[in-house]
Amino acid sequence: MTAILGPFLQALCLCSAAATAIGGAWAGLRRRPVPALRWAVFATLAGALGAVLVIEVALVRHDFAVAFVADNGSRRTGVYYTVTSLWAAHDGSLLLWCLVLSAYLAVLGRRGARDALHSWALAVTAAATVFFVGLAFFSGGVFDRVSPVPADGPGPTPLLSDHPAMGVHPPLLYLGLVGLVVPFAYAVGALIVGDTSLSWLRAVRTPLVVAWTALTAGIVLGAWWSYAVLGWGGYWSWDPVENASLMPWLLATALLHSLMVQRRRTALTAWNLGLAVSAFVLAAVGVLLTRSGVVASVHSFADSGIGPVLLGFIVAVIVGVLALVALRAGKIAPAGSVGTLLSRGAAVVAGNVVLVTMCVTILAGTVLPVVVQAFGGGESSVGAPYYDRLVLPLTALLLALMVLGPVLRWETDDPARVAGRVVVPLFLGAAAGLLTRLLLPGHLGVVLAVALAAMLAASTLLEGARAAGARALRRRLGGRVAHLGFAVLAVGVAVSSAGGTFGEGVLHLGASSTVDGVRATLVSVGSRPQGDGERTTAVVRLSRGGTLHPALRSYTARQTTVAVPAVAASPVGDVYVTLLSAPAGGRSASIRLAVNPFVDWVWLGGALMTLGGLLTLRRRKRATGPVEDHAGDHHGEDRAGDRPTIPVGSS
Amino acid sequence: MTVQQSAPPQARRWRRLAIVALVPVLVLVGVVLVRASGESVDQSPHGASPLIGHRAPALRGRTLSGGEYTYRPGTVTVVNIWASWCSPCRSELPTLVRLGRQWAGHGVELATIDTRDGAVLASRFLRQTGATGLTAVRDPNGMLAVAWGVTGVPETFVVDAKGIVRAHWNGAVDPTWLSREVAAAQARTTS
Amino acid sequence: MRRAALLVLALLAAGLLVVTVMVGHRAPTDTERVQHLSGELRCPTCVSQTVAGSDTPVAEGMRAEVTRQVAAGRSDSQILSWFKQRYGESIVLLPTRHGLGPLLWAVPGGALAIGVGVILWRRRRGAGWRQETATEHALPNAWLAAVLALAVASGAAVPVVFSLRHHGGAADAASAAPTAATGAVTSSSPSPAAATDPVGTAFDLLKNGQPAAAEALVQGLADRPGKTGTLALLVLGLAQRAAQDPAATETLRRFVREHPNHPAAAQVRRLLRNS
Repeated sequence: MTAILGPFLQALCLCSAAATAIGGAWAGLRRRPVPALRWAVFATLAGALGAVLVIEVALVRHDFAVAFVADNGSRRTGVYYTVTSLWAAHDGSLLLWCLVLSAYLAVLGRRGARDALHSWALAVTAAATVFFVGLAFFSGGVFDRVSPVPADGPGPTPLLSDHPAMGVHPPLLYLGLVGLVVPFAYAVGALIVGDTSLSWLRAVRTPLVVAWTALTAGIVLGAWWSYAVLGWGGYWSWDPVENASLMPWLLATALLHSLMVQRRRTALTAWNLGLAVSAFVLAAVGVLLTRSGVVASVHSFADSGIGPVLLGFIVAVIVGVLALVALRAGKIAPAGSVGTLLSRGAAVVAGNVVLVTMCVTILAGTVLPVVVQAFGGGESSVGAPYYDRLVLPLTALLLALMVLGPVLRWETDDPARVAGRVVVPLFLGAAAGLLTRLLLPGHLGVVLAVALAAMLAASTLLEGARAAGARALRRRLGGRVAHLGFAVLAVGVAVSSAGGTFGEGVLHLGASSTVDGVRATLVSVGSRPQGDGERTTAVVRLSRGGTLHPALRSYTARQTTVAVPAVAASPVGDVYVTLLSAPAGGRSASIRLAVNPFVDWVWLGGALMTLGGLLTLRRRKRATGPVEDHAGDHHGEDRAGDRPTIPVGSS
Repeated sequence: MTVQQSAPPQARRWRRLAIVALVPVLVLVGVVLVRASGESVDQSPHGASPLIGHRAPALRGRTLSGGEYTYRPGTVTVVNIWASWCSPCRSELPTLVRLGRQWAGHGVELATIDTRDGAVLASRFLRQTGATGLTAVRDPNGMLAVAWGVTGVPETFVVDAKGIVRAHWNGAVDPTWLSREVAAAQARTTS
Repeated sequence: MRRAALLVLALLAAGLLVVTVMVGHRAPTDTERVQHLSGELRCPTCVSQTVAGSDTPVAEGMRAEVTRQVAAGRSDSQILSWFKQRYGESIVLLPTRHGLGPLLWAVPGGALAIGVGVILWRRRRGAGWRQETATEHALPNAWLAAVLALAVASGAAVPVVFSLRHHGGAADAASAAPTAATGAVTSSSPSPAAATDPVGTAFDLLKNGQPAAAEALVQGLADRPGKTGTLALLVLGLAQRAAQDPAATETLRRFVREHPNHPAAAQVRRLLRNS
């Protein structure tokens, strides 16, 4: 039953998406709204949702006749982790990806094809859906029948069935990455239609903020999850998979800000088009990096089957867009002036350059070693030191620009006035820097980062306080909260990377180990069976109060052992204990004790940034109610000349 | 106020830019495709240790049998790194011991490093594989193995009489290869 | 008055910055040095992890060695080159002068330079005219079709080229792959281990790139009852697959058929599906 229903629903999704693409293109060519297209769009969503439901039902019912369930399901796994095991493996997570993409398509096309621009955007989004659903349909094998039917399965990878974040992080991440298809689709539509003015801009704003917020939350949640689970107390290792989600985020952040400039100054039009396309291309590159094994070796890339196809998709997109730009060059609106050197527009442009440079750096570090290997070169040696050395100075530059940007006026500004607004934060930042220096001697880079971040926080708060009246404060609240969040995040990252210390060694019962003033005493070690293996837990008492229970979990079916670290969190720093090994007998254990200062500030900063994004959405929805639906736009009307009715920021 | 757009200089510039970007992208993709797809990856278990051609690292310490061992250049030496928790070592050690007996009369020494292991487990392992009497330097915290640039077990090095590393094998050693390399190292000594 | 106050504040801030830079400068402690150096060394048996962040035995040994050398007073560059001598240049995570290194520094630097350059160049050219265009000249259908065709063609070319060339490559790789035995099978006199545990020995041989030898050892054992037979069948199938023996698929299918609940069955099934 599942073997028939599942592929049928996928096929339904595929055909409906293809119909949408063709219908949208037709509507775009005819310049006529086609409300009926919404049925195709809803059918696409129904197909994708149905396919996911079918496989989830099979997983929960332990129907081991289905290939995916036989490979990833298990009777021993609880319901929550059984449901999330859909995205614990690549072929299942592709189904989730298609679902999110279909959802975006459905929201975009919920009223059918409207005007020409919207129709083309719908067509392009549908075409992307066709590609990914086609990929899932033809290469998945998720619904295949298995015979003979096994009695049980191995269950999802242990590391992915131990922590509740598994149910939240991948969907959030996909919500963010997939959402970048909408700005891309509108950019391509604008090029085809020949109208790169505000209409494109207005349509893109909300989906971009939604995608950015989800991506921010997803990335920070992923870092927090790594920290809680991986046992070495780090949360970011510049892994290719991590980089794959960070690069689109950087471009989306850049786009978010430069759209403001386009709205205000009618400038940076071509730049925004390019950014919108690049953000999506990098999201696709991210998919390529995670699913094709290309970073492991060029050989595994070619073997994977899915790798070359994804690469082909990316090539097609790049070639198509470049060809389109070549043909439509004359229709790209000429750039207005961004402003003088000392203006908000210039600060945003400078910030964009920094963000794009960061993205290029990470791309180079992730991809160049593979390319070199393809040419027969040797192994790579790119890791954290490379990225740190380049990204940290860029971040410092960014922090400084974030202080200046909100303070500057749009058209031009006067240095004296700017200096007046900046001096108090500067002083506070310097004081924070000195304090950091005294507490963390020997880390000048960290001190600089903290000083700048404190300056940013102070400036944001002061500017917020300066906004008179509740309405004025609410206007830019989202942005201010997000900037504040970034400052908090920066402090957390800087201090935790510089001040963390750890020690490891074998402890006998009753013995203690001291790291950074925190003493941990081993109280007991014991094992008990859990699942199909056993759980060995050590009880560790901390001198500053509290008891931790780090553990080792063994999984017999998967023949692996996973460490479950224990963390005692506090605003000033975490105590992080990992059980490395515990010989039989329960008399001793090998423990790693780490003290990670200010790590929780990273999570707090991330949460604030997400909140800021949500606040922006709320305000935007209320203010752009009638404008969001631009079905009534007349193409003769010049709206850029008016002061925009949407308050983007006062000077 | 609607303005009909015709900005030839700007349009030309963008067009040129797009084509200038398009061509190298296509060329680059094509080149990478051709190179990457045709490449066959060498899966040789032979080692490519950076130590080859350089002086052998220090090797000294207590042995499993309780004595002390210090490596000194003078004769061709085969250095093998193993551990009791390593299953390929189970089949490799007897081979080594047999070869070692053959070489003993020809001035070739066999020294091994027992890395990250417990003395009791290691001694039992040696008994089980019939390899008692093997010179096994203890390396409980793995630092000796690190000094030899070892990434896993087993690994084997052939060091000539002057103390220069001549060959390296990653994994359970092929006895034919080993005999050949030892002969080559001996020849180097006499030449 | 206000201006004066601000000026004083600015001077104070500058003073604080100077003090910050000068004060608290001390040499890093030994622990900090070990941590820093461990962060600069690549864990050779992991995927993109530093020695500081890895739990593998090799990484632990390397950390112990770094600790010993730091305590002995060697400098950072001495310690790093010690490791480079033994593990190669790529053990140090910061790209060096050779090979990839310069490119990795040049690309971001170039991007930044281009960005700044474009900004300055556009400023010099002067601002464009601030008008908005609202033209409606859609792309002629023929051109649109051409763009689409070009995009699809170049996109489709990628997987096609890969599948054509890679199968050719795979065949070459198979024949060239040093089956380390090169015909010289196992040791001439059967070791005690091979006699008492043929399946285990065969498994080891398989892992060490000697599938032919492994296959020879377990050939007759696959039909035995019980655990020995099961494992022998599995090892036989895997060995045949590694040696590109066409009988491999049938052997592996037989394994999945007869032992669907074996822990390795799921992986074998996936292997069969992907081939």
